[in-house]
Amino acid sequence: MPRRDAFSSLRQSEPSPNVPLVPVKKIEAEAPSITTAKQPLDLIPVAARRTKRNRDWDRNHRDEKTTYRGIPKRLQETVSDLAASLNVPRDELVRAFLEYSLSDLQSNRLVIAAYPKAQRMTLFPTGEASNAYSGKKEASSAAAWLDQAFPISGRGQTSAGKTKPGRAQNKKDRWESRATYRLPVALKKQVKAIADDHDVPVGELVLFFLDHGLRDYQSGELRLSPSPRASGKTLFLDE
Amino acid sequence: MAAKVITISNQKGGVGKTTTSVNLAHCLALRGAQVLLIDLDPQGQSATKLGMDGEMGAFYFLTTAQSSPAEVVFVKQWVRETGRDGLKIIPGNSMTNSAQMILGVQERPVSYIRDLLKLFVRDGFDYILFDTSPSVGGLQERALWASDLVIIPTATEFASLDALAKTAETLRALRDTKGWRGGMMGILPTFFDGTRESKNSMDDLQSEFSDKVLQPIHKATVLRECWSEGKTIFEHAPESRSAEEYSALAKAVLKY
Ligand SMILES: Nc1ncnc2c1ncn2[C@@H]1O[C@H](COP(=O)(O)OP(=O)(O)OP(=O)(O)O)[C@@H](O)[C@H]1O
Ligand SMILES: [Mg+2]
Repeated sequence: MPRRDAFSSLRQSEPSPNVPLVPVKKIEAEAPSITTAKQPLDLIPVAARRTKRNRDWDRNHRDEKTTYRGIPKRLQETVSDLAASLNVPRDELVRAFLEYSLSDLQSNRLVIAAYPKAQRMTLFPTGEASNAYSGKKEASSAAAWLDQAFPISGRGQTSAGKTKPGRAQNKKDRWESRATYRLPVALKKQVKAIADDHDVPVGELVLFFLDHGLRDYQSGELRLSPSPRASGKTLFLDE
Repeated sequence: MAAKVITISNQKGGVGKTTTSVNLAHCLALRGAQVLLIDLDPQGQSATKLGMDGEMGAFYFLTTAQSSPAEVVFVKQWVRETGRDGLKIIPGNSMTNSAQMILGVQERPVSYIRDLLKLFVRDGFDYILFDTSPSVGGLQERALWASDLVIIPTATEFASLDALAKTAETLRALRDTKGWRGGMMGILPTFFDGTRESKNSMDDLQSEFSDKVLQPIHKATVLRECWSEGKTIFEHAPESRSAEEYSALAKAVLKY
């Protein structure tokens, strides 16, 4: 006697018409069935494995990941510390600074003045004398500040004779201090476009923006009010 | 990382829900996760299987409004240490039944339990597991709706398959009519032995649910002994096949 169908109740009921069915893999070895009856698996909501979802997530968010060169370690640490003290993810803070600087740029409260340096342009904030993150406080002229903060043009420089041996190593370190952030693609593109407009490396512009944001935050000009949703830890992720 | 909410459910009694809840919870904790087990079954057996007493924790978890800091502190004190690293429990007892009635659970939104879980948002739990009672009702439905993953232990016998179909039906209804966004992780065949009935049931399961059928838990005396000892399988017989099988389940959970 053939075994009774244990799942007849599942097969009898129809899914509600306007709800899309979750696509499920069938066992490949099985010959395709010509029966039109619904199989339980087509009807039951099943969970997807994380590995799969992660790959999807990566695919969707790959474009957000971006690496900028020449962001000094000390600045990176200052940003990380501030983010931790505000209880927000670091990238959220970076984003806030960039967006803040962009809006200041638009309203002309922030001015980009690029100067030729070796074969390409560079920039420093008008009226700024020193960069607190470059590690050398004594930098007193804009040119010295630039040299310390943005030694990126080293490769193109032909005036090797001017460089002391010890400094070459320093330059390399700072060149190597890259920072990787996840930023909204639109913001990323906007920053890149502005850097291109002014013919400066994008890392330099990001440094300029972060520095501007930090300064204004420290002076009380910029207020950051973390909203609860910005917290890295939440039980209820709406993907 | 966000806490994964897992509900162990089957409206049929004695299919291994509590055995699965307790051993899965402990195994995840042994693997370094922070786990909270919440016993929604008025039989209170999650606690007794861990060698503890049933208590009114689930009752207060379900009925306390969480509208003041004092209430939050009050509910949280029902989160009990189990004496096992990374594993905590909110024990239940027969009062959980009263909670259902006092609340008029059916009147509450389907998100009721999910909302209650916000209480633990900052407590660092990686997994929150619900053990449920062998019945259909407002509480089960809300626990299912609260979960990201549902595991359905099913004894490998015909009568259990029928109950499984009903539970699956509930999941479908929750998604289609209540907007549930979680999913069934799998069907866990239990009490598997070499009998023909057991094998036939496995075949039925596999042909219907294919890769959603998890590696079976064999029928084993050691699992029965655990209860009287108040120990999990990893304490009572860590080298046993049962321990291996529950480890495999925990490993599978980690993939979600
Ligand atoms: N694989 C197994 N082999 C042998 N005995 C088992 C197995 N799994 C569970 N048991 C025993 O079967 C009984 C029922 O198991 P358990 O309490 O886990 O089921 P349950 O689904 O939680 O029951 P209830 O529906 O009453 O809550 C217990 O005595 C338990 O020790
Ligand atoms: Mg039980």
